[in-house]
Amino acid sequence: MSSWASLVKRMLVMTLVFTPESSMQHQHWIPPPSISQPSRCDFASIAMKDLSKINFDREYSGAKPVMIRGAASDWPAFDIWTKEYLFEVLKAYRLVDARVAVGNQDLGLESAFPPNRSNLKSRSHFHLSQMLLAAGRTIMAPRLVIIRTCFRH
Amino acid sequence: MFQALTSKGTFRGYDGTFNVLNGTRTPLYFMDWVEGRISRYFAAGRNSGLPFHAHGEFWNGLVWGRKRWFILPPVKAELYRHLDVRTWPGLEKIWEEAMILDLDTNNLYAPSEADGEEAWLKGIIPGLGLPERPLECLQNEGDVLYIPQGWIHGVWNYGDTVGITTIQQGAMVHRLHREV
Repeated sequence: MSSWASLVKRMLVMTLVFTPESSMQHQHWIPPPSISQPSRCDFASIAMKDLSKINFDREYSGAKPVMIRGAASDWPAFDIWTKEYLFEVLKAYRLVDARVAVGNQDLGLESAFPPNRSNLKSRSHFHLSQMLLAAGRTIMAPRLVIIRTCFRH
Repeated sequence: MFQALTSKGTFRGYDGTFNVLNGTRTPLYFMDWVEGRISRYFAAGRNSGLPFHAHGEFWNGLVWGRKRWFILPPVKAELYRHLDVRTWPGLEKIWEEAMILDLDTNNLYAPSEADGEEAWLKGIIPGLGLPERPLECLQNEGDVLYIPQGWIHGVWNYGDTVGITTIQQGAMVHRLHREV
């Protein structure tokens, strides 16, 4: 594909991300599909109860990746962040400092810490639901929606 | 002025503040991380992916959804210093081949969600030209992933995913791609 066509595509995608919420049709949370081997792992995969802090520091910290099964299962999030809550309530929130990465554009993970001003200037405001909708339905390309924990004074 | 509220983990809405930390508890393994060097990330849409990159050590606690991780150990910097994720051949390939432009609606889409994933998996990973296949791991709700600094990683999200990624930037952060 020629470069101009590729450019047009990317511009279109960015446009879609900004599509007003009213034009979105997807209004519910989409769960992951069920699969046969949900715990498949090529590297260390350990239940939280079998991994002490001492062993983590000795074996993995700064050295090797590890999947710690169930280490977040006691989080309040599972009670207070119901899917309905996140979808219905958070959509009323206007998020600031949200960055949207589309395809190979603006991965957004490596912004300066603290974020530098030139990055922030180009940022726009989104609703979480818009971001989920746009990312989940409208655009079927590799992309990431990132909400950084920043706000404007 | 902007200020990163990395220690409080909040973002402000019209009528209040949402604090991502209200829903999370730092696993004991990471209690000693330095708050001043931490940044946090929150949510991703279903059927989304992030190509390979590297940064400081991080942990990710997943609340909703499922993530398929691909990781590669850090290699000598000279082997991939020239690589920028935006120029990796796999990325261009999937972008141009996997997407369909609907001229009636001006919508861009992949033929199906499964095709989107397949395009990512088949388009990026072989295009890396790396000597080894990435290690894979599936992260489910309630699982916590730890990746050391400098390990190259990419991720695919199944379902709308909500989780907290906490990155601790070290003194020697290995950047695989330029500042965006």
